[in-house]
Amino acid sequence: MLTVFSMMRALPGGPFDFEGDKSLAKAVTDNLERRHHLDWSESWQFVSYVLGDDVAGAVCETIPSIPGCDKVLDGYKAGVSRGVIRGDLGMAMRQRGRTINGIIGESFPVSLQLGLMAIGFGLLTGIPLGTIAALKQNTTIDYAASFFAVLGLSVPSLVLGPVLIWIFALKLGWFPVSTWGAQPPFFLGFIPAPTKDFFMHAALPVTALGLALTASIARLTRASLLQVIGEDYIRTARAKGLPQSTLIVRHALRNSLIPVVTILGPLTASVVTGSFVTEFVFGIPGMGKHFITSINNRDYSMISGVTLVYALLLVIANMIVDIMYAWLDPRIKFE
Amino acid sequence: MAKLLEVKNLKTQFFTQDGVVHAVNGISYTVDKGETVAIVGESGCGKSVGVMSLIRLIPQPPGKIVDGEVWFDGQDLLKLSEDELRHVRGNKIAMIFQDPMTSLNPVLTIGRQITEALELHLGMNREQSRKRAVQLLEMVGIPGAESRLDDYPHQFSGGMRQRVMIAMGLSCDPQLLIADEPTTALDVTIQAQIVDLVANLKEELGMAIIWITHDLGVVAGMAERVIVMYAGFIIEEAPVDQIYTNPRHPYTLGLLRSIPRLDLGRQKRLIPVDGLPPDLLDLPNQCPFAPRCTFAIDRCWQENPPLEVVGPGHTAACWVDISDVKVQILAEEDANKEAA
Repeated sequence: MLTVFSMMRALPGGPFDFEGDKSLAKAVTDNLERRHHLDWSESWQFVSYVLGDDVAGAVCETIPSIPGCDKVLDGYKAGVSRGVIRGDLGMAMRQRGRTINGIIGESFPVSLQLGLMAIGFGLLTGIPLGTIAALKQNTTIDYAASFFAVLGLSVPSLVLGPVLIWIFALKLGWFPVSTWGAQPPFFLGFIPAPTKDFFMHAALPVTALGLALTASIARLTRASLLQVIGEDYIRTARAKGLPQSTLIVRHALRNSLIPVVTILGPLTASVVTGSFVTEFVFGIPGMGKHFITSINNRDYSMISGVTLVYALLLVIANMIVDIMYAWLDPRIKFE
Repeated sequence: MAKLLEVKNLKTQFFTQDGVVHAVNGISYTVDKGETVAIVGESGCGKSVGVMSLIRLIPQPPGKIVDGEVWFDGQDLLKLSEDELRHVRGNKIAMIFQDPMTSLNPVLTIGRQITEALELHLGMNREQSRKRAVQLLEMVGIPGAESRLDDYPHQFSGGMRQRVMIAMGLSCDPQLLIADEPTTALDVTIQAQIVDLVANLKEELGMAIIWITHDLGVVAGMAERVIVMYAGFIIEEAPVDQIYTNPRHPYTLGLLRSIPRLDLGRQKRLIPVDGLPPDLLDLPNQCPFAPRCTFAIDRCWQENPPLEVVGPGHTAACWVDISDVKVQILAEEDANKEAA
């Protein structure tokens, strides 16, 4: 957090620097900067961001001799932030009068819907595809699946998105071209009503984002399943007279999914970065848009806020992966 | 006694990038009901592939059973469809494997792994099969059987896992149990326990056993007949006492001489069989053991000897009668000359 905080401030330019016709009067800029405490020293800005304006003010009232305290005493009563620690991500600098909490609360569910559906899509298509490829090893089906996997991995969503729009939305007219079909309120904060409109809108972006996942999951499933099928316990299971389907589903697949679960953590990260592009291409009002525009706008509080949410998301994703691990493999136990 | 299994001219080959591996080269034998037959031989001589071919467990491809018949219960197992064969596997013919550490599925409870065969072949429901699984575990001597049903394989020691494997093999009361080196991966004391266990269970249940091993010491205690394999051929077959007192193939003799004996103290050195088994990629028409044989004569290099009857229930594939005293003296002289 500190890294992001200081690095974004080290970038040249600030949120209220404009050029040419748009440039603001010096007095206006000063006023705005003061309102967002940008006139404070960087360490005091950080304190106020993390702990809140009132804490910074209280400290300075008690010991006014700390360097930079004069500015703090001057402005803390205007009160922008209650501090991240109390769940307040501050005010947006470039969207007048809006809180970061409000903006993220609006856009994050949409991003989460897109991301979860993409991961679900990747698992639901990748595992069967990899399984089929492994069972039909070295046949045309296997080669076709492998070719598809390489293709899915190498075509970025920046290319895939417009291609999908062109084919399925513009030429065939099956799906809407862009935007998102879900409307708040959401169940549990992020689960939308499963309307036809929602799925029609979701189909293309989810495919664009999920296809790369499908590809890597399919490749891993294939390799891992092939290895598991050669294990002794599969021979034992065959010696018991189990039919092929039971053999694969009950004995082989669960063992082969262990490495697949392992890469779900890193894959979540790639979904997050992929969603910046996908949301942009499909005009989805998600968080990725804010992430990119806020950097260009030097909207400091927005950058920090979005980064924090993504970091939290990755931590949670990795935790879920660990839990799934223990569920799949009884040899792993949490003490 | 009635024949349970009759193997005729079984040939299994592996088609690899380097060429055709002749793993099993036309072996024929029978197993009677309730009989214990031991198949011995060194690593890579085709013992395991030979028995796995019986119920078509070898990976195909690259493996292929190119010839032969396996008569069991009035049908040729090699001609059955995969579905028909599945009803034999694990049901009438059960198999236990060498390494209990890797032969049990790590992510399924042992209860599940035992009950699935019961549900499949005997049509039991969940409750019946669990009850039967507890009985089986008690039978193979696993303490606290009921509470251990929901444990995973990694919670058992190697010996206990092999007991679980045996319980699994016996679950459907098979007529034939194939034990593929079940004691090789275990400690010596555990080995003895497992051998005793199987011998007792056999008394109790009356099934036939094919016991594969490379340890002639294990064989003596439990088998009634011994088949010695070398390079994918059966080279000698005899009742168990005949193998020890009157071996008729130089290789069998070599195996016997390399068993450590406590009763002879330190006076007698072990005599290993020199050299390596032949390359199964390329078998010339000669006795496969000739390059390592102290008794070899010219004919051994020109023609592979067929199995011939040398006594009651005793066959051997050798051109030389090594039970002949003169032959033994000649061979010993040769050996001494070489040593000098």
